[in-house]
Amino acid sequence: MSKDGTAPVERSSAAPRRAGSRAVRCGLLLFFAACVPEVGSPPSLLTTPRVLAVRSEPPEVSPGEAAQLFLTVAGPTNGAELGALDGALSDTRWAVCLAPKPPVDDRFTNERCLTDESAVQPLALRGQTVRVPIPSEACARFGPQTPPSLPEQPPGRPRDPDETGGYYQPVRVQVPALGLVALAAVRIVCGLALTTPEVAAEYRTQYRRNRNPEIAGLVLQQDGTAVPSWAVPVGAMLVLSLIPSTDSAEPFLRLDPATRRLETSHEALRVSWFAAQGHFAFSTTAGKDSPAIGNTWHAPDEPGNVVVWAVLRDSRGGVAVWSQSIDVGRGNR
Amino acid sequence: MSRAAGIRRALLWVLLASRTAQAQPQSSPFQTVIRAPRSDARPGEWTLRSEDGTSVAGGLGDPLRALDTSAAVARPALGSGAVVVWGSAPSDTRVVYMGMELPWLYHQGGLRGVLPASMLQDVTLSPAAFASDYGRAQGGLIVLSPRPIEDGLHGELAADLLDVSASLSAQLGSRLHVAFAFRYSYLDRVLAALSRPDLGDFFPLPQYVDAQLRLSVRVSDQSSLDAVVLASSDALRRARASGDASRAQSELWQQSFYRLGLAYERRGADGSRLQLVPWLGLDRTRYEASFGGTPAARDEDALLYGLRASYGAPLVRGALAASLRVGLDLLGQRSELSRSGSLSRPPREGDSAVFGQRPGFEQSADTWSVHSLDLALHTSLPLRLRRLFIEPGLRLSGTLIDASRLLPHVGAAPPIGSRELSFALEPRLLARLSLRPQLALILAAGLHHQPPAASDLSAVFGNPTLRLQRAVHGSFSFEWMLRERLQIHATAYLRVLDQQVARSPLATPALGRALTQDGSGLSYGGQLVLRVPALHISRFALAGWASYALSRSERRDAPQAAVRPFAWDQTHGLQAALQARVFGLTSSLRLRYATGLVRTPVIGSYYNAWADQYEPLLGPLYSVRLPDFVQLDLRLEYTLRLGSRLGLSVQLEIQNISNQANVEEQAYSHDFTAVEPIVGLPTVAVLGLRIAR
Repeated sequence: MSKDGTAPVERSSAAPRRAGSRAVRCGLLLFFAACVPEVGSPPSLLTTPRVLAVRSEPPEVSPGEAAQLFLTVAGPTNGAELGALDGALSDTRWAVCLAPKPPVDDRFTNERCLTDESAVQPLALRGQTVRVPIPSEACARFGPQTPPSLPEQPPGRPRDPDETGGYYQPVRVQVPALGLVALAAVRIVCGLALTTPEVAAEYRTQYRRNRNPEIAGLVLQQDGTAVPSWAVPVGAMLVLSLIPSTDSAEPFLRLDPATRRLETSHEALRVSWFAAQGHFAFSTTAGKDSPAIGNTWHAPDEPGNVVVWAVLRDSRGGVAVWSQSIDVGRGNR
Repeated sequence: MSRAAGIRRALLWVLLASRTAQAQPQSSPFQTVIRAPRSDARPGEWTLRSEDGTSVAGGLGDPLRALDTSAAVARPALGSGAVVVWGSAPSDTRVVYMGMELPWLYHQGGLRGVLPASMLQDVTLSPAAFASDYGRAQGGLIVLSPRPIEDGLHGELAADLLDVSASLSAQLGSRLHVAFAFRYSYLDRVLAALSRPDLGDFFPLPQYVDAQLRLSVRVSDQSSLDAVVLASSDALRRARASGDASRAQSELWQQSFYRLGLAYERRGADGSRLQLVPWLGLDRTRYEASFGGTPAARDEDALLYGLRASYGAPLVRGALAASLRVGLDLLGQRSELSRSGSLSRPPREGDSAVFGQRPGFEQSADTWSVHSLDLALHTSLPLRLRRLFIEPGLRLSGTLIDASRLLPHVGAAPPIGSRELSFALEPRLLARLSLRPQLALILAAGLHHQPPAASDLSAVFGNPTLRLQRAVHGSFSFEWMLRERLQIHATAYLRVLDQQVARSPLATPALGRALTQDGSGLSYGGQLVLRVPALHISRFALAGWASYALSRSERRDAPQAAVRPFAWDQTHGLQAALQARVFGLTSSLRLRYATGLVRTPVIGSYYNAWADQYEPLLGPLYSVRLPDFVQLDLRLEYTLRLGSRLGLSVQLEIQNISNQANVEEQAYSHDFTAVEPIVGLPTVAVLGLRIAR
């Protein structure tokens, strides 16, 4: 069995699960993983109100600056419930996390930021959108700057960056009326750790801060033909293509931790898909060579209005959100 | 009592029910192998003949797989191949073959041992407090003895669902014997053909190959020289291509080792014995992984060189018998390592995570080298006075650890290495009191040290200042032969660990100190083993054994940290086996019960909007357990005679014949609100054939 496990196989309408396939697998001489069950509904299926994204504008700031954070929540709501949802979101509470996590913790933040009020700095403002000031000590808590060491003691270990060389200030988001707890992050400009002054200076002058990606549109196709969103047949198999703006995937400078040299990388884009009805082939898809990022969506077998959400993320923490209302079955009447 | 009667009675002490060799004339329908207990056997020591190990149900015909029939070994997790001896970590137990240390006992996946049964004579496990001629292990010791190469020409070819193996031995002249064996796996291709080509995307299937060449020269009537070459290679690949970017995963494990050794032995007419074993080795491990685009990699190449030399001779004979044994044990290892990814990949014992959780997002990298040299002088003085046998021993070791970098790369500063010499004095003691010929009490104790792994000496991922870990072992055993029909072994043990390598609990560890040596631990428990000699009724023979182990193993990662269970802690372990032979059909039935493995509970979750994934809120580390494990296995073997020299054996092994749904892991939904068990093997049948001359 894998040390890290195999994620549950998502039910896909594009590749329908074969009846009895699990039994076939279990009947084989599998000494390593036996049977991996599918647990719960796929991440793309909205069964209850959920946090879909928190967009920071700008997505990357220096300590002491502020960022505007916008919360996106969606669920299987109809028109009457949307008002209640808006009411709940008006009481959204925000808090800046102050507790760094041990480097071996696989999670994004110290668990205390979720459970211990002494580990956070709450913001007075509430609501779906707030302006969050980034503490001036953010690079010491969550970045490469470490506190001064004691005499005869080695200095502290700088935080390790993510794959793009970035550091992040965690921000806790709570929607009490909906029982939602989420963690957002604002990328902070901290410079480099443990490198030469020349490399640090070059990085400081040449690094370009991240900008949020933008979405140009969402295209629906059935069998290669464009389908208007108000005329989707029931049970149709659609290819949804999200089209990011051309400059969404930006180049950026990073320090290769192995070679200790600066190199230019390009952001990768990925899209998280959500809907309360129908089934996506995949919950998340990534852009490769094509300018559009696609997914297959199996429309529900019952007519009705379905809102499809697409959250576009770049690899440096930038976010863009798109929602598309789709009328299923009306075009056939 | 005459000497012959004494020997006969003593021989009844230990019985290993067996089956006949496949290609030899059978003088008895059910061969019973009876062994005298060695006076220097430690409490809980377990020895299995290779031939006996091949007939153990659940072992797939591999005597090394039969190691888990020992009460001292915890049931490993499915497919892990981990050998957990009396609550010690798998890396704390040493494996020695012909005086050479082997890096692992099993091929990846734990399906097969790295040495073929045809080249093995015995497998001996000393769970604790072993003799002073072995060291560098704070857990147990597994000594694999080579099978003497027989005169004449012999061969064997075997195949089953897993692999094909062959061996050939020949006598070349009056003084030279040669033997060769190899094994090659095809399980991955067989299962892919039977099921679906992308099966490996769901289940990692191992590929392995091993080979061994031995030359044995009888230099004189008193001396012999053996040369051996070992090779073993593994690859385990799991690549799950997915359009779902967050779920695309790939993992690759590769490991191989090579050994070249010489073993010289001279036995003097005065009872003296001289042994010399110089050897060279090469170990390679490689791990690559990507979880949703988060990469991790680790490479290690190690060149090993070793020398074992010992001389023993009787000093006094008579009512008081004494002998002296002195020796030297040297092991050098030059390792080149590189690693990248997060600190938590690969994981360590004591890490707080749950199955399926993605690795941390932080990335780092390091390249480093380590040269360690451990030289030990050891001596022991076995004394026998009537019914009392005492063997005090002493081992003095000096360990030099030379790490290439004390701190991570800091700007353009030149690297400053670390070099430290540590000395350790390790007293060992064994005492055996035979109250009656059928009743004996055994006590053993010892101080043991173990150098840190080279992979832990990274200035980025570990700590280059790590030094020897330490353990105190104590064990007590009671052996009783009841009317020569029932043998009872009862053993209690205690293992106290300190200076253990553990993760730094600090949110901001010191630079170059991601690991500390502040850990400690405690393992204690007892085991009861009952063996029933073979009952012969006409052409029917029946034998059996049962064992029960009660154990507790716990760790503390830092002085101020709470005591927690050890990751492989198993409170109860129960095994029972019956072996029967009738009209040439050998059957073996084994029942295993074990307490479920510990896990960390999930008490909540939150959404990480940055990574678009849910992350768990965890309860106390290792504070819950998987359900208990129960399994019943059956093995049947029938041998046909093909002429006067050939024998064809057909084996059928049925594992989990009751189709028990044993829970091996827990799988969580994406938001950690739902959990379902991952069950282990269903009923599985493996058919094998073997032809031997």
